[in-house]
Amino acid sequence: MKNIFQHLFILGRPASGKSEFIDFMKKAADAERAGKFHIGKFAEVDDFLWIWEKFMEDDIWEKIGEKRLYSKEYMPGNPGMTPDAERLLMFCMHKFNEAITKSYLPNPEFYKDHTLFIEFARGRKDAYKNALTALKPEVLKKSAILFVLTTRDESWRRNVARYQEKQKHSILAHMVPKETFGHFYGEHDWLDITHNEQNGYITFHNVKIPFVTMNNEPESVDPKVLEPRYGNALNKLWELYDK
Amino acid sequence: MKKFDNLIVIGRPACGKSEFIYFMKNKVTDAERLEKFHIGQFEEVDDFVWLWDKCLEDDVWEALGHKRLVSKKSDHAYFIDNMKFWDFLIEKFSPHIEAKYLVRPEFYKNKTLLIEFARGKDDAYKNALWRFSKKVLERSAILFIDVSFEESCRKNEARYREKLKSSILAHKVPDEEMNGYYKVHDWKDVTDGKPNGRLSINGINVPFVTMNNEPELKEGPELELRYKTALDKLAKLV
Repeated sequence: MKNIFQHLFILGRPASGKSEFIDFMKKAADAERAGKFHIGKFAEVDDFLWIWEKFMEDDIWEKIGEKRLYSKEYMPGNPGMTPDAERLLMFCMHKFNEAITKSYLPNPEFYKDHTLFIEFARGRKDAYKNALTALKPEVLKKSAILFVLTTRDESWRRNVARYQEKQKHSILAHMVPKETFGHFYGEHDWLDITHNEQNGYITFHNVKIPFVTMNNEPESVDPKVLEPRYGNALNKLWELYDK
Repeated sequence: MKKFDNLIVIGRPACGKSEFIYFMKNKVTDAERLEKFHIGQFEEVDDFVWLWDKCLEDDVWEALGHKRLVSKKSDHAYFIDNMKFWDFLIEKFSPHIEAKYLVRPEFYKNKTLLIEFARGKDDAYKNALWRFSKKVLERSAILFIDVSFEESCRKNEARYREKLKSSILAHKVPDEEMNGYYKVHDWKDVTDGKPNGRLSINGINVPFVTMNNEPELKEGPELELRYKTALDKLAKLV
């Protein structure tokens, strides 16, 4: 299948709408997704799972009388990353390199009809600059970046709303606690590194990577709103990717 | 026909745990395994996988300029230098087994879960087994594969030499870990020197049998008899 992204980075603050974007794409038929959004069948690599695993491991360290290494249970049953655990974010970038170079890049068959979503959120000074710099050129070469943009306040609002909604159905609901959100996700450097351009290219390791910044406000769950929002962003991104 | 639900297979490194599992996987049919050894089709949980994963993570931390968390590099593998890590690994078993197996009653209809680990030091098995949850222990029996420290070292080295023939990635338990961690264990104390019986662990009576695995037998009817004798005895205690 031609005309599909090979690697699509989906970046943005927590609760900016990354998961909703993926959910939307999951529900679209393969042909429609490829035709309208340049996304094939897809697999996902998301560092949330690695981070959550570390939080769960912290429970074990604590149980055996050791210090938690990365997280604190800021809310009951709802741990968040502590300020001194920033190293975990760079660890995850290594995991991305490892997962992608081992499980996807050696398999050209995958890319014939698949897109790989690479999803993460970063914050603080040099957030995305550091994160993207940590990735291997061979990972970046196949990539395009969709940045899902929301303000800090909107991201926090959705983070809380999503948690409250999940709580109605599950005791396992979780959210980014306000301490973690405040420290890690208040600011980021995306608009700096893209010079406030809505789309264009950014370069890491001499690899020119197309990007689009998609404003994801106001929030909507209406496909009639989301489809053109996603379609416009991804078609622009494809234009840059296909050059 | 009695079938073990959870069979905890423990003993020193290279005592024969992997060979036991290899035998059960490759040398008998499902029907034979169940009839002769009381083991259904089986899956395995082995903390070595978690251990190795953490050692590889340590390599990453080191490459990123941070200190290693649980291990040091050794000539042939990794050396665990954070003694708390052994407890960490044991604590992973019960939540993992409860979430992946105990929640699926259909798993135990015809299957057995093999739970494999090795521990050393004065409180090796007392510390480890008492960290298992009641839910896991209620369905468990213990096969302890007994070899001397010298035999464990010999087989550890021999296995490494054998693997080296076919892979440069061969590894063994480093000598410093064999001497510093695995030299002594408390199995005899925990079992009061009895060859079989029941251990009261966290209020649960868990059957056990100690199987002497010396001299080494690689195959043949004597090996089968060794396994069968031990597991028949254990099944009677279940």
